[in-house]
Order: sequence, then structure tokens, then C-alpha cells
Amino acid sequence: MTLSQEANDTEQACRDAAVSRDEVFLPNAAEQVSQESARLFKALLGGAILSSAIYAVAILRELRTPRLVPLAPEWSRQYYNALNLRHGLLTGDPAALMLVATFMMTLTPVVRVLASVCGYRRLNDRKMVVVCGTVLGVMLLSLALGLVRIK
Amino acid sequence: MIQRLVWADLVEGGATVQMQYSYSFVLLLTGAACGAGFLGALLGVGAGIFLVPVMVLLLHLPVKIAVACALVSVIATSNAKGSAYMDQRITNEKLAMILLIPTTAGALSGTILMLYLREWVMLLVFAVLLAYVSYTAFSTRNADETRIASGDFCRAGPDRLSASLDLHGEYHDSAAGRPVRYVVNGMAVGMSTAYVAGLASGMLGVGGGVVNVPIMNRYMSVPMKAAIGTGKLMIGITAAVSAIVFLLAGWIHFLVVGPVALGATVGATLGTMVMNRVPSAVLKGLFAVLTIYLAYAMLAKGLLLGFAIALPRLG
Repeated sequence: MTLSQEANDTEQACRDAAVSRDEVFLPNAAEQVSQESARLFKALLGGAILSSAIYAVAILRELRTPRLVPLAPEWSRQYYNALNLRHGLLTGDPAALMLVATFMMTLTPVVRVLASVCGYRRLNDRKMVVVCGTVLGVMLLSLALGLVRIK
Repeated sequence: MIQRLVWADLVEGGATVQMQYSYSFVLLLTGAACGAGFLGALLGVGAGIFLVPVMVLLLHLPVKIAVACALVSVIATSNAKGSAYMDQRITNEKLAMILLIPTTAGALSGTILMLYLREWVMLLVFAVLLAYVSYTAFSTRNADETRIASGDFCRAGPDRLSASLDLHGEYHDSAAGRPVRYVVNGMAVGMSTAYVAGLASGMLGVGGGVVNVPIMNRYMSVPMKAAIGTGKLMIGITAAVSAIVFLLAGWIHFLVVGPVALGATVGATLGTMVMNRVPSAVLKGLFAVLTIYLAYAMLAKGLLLGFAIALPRLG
């Protein structure tokens, strides 16, 4: 049997399998959500590009005046204060800029899951709303745990 | 020479290690992240699986900072080209969301565990994970093409959960030159191992794709490229769960994470462009060789730190 014959046989087998489960391979609600998700991903990509641009600016600014920086969590946490962060952003402190970029980058998946919940809700797919809602719940729990740890 | 430059940049300043932010350090870190992002996009895993060993072994950064920053690179690689996989209909979003329930729960547990673990324990666990991943990739490197050619993926019957949630998919495989259809099964295996994948992600900053992608391919009847596309969506969300905790705890060091995220985004963009054109066997073979080398290096460092046992250096 040649390769092309084998490929044709395989295609036929797949078609036969699909005929017995027509609904399985027909375009369905999940594909609509997928298309919406693709559009959303493009929007989120804009956020990722913006974060990358902020990182690039911050790295260049930091390299202009190199300094010794402690590799410890306390150093990062000094920026978790509205006054310090505001002052850092106004003076163009590279670490403050990178904090904003990191915050944006970290939150994009949360927005992504939130959009999936809304998408499946519009399609009345209750099972998937529960599934995506549970994932979102775990993300919010991690946020709560992180805030508790800060305190 | 490069290693000596970076060694010189790390200065012991009292109780905490300090870092001199230099051009050599930034260039090395950005280059490593770019390479890791490229390989991660090709193989459907987060850049962290390659980036954490590089940051720890080559740049001598503390493991916890390396893990925390690698998680942001995982989000960056997931964001960078997630839309491309969606456009090509390679990603199975429903499957991803269902597997994300145990994966994110595992990630949260792993993150809490990681905050209290010793560095050498993390290195040894990382080495074991890498060795497992290498074995899995190598032992199944030719299985995908054979299964696509025999129509194995589309003949599989759905199990109860996948039938109830209507889990199936179809995409066009550019390397094989034909559409590939598949029906998901083996949900029980997938859901239980997804928790372990999340645990690995939270503890080691790897995103979870290293466990989820081979499991989807081997036990859930998902073709390798669909598993990679689905894994790409999952790793960003899984990494975010841990990254939020690490960010608020202060372990994401902003001056380290900048070059990491930037390099990973560029690398992932390039990697996704070529992913669907490369045969699965080549991807898996490359993956297996790299991961076994990194496993050995992490094992060597873990044994040295934990038990003062020195293994011979490779390369």
C-alpha cells in the first residue's frame, strides 16, 4: 500500500467515525467561544506588548545608573506602599515602572478567565460557566492569600 | 568568560546577596529568557522549565527568586502567542478550562509549600521532574505521527465526562498536510495528574505544561500539537495563580523579572511561528536531550547544597 493510499484510507476512517457522531465534529457553541477567545487574546496581547515596552524603558533607565540591589523580598516590598509607588512613578524609578508592568502582566490571565465566564454565560452553557467560575475562584483565593501574607 | 563576568556581579553584602545590575547581566538574562521562550513555545511548556536552571546554575540567583520570576515569563509566553494557537484552532479551550480546576488548585498548594521549602529540596524535586519529562518525551517521540496516520485519535470513543462536556477538536496540521480530528478521553487520569502539574508549577515555576502536555497526548487521546496549544493557554493561567502570591510576598524581583519577561515574549513569538511546521518527533527528541542535561545539573547542585556530595560536571 502506498503512502497516499494509506492517507486516503485514514481520511475515510475519520469521516466514517465522524458520521457516527455527527454532532461531535460540527461547529458548536464551544467553537464560537474559541473564536471570541482568539479575539480577546489579541486584546490581551496588546496589554502584554505594553508591559514589555514598560519593562524595556525601565531596564534602560536602570542601566544608566547601575547600583547594588539586594536580592531579597524586603527590597521589592518597599514599593508596596501607595506613597512610595506614586513617588517612584513620578520620578521614573525603574523598579516602580517594573512593578506596574509586572502587575499588568500577572493580571492578564485573570481577565482572560473572567472573559471566558462571560462568554459561556452568553451561550447559556451552565456547565462551562461553573468550570470557568471555579478556576476564577481559585485565582481570587490566591490573591486573598497573598494579601494575608503581606499583612 | 561570560560566567566569570556574572559571578563578579554578585556580591555578598552582609546577610543578603546583592546584585550589580550591569549590561552583561541584563544581556545574559534577556538572551537566556529569549532562548527559553523560543523552546517553550515550540514544546508547549512554559519558559520556566529551561529558565529556572539557567538562572540558578549560570547566573547563581536564589532559587525562590528564579522560580517567582520564571512564572512571569510563563505568563508572557502564554500571552505572546496564545491568539495564534486559537486562530489555528489548535487550542481546545473547554478541555483547558476543565483541566485548570485541579491544576490551579495544585498550583496554589505548590506555592504555599514552596515558600517554606529549603533550596536543595527544590533543586532535587526539579531534577526528578525534568528526568520524568525527558523520559516521557523520548519514549513517545514517534508515537504521534503513527497515531495520526492510523487515525487513532479520531477513532477513540469519549468517556463519560468528555461526552457530557462535548470535548473534541479538529485542527489543520501543516507538517502532516491534513486536518487532524480527535475525541478526548481518559479524563480521570488527566484530572488527577493535572493537580500534580499544578503542584510542580507552584513549587518550581514551570507552568505545568511539562506534565500536562505529555499526559494529554499519551493518555487523553489529544494529538501532540493540540496538547501544546491547549497547554499554552493553561500555563499562563496556572502560573498567574502562583505569581499573584509571589508578587504580593515580594519574591518577584522587579529588576530580574524585566529582562526575563521581555526575552521570553520575544522568544515565544519566534517559537510559535515555526511550531506547527516542525514534526512532533523532532520536537520531542530535542526536548528530551535538553531536559535530561538540565536534570543532571540541578541534581548535582541539589546534592552539593544538601549533602556536600560533588558529582562530576558535564560540559
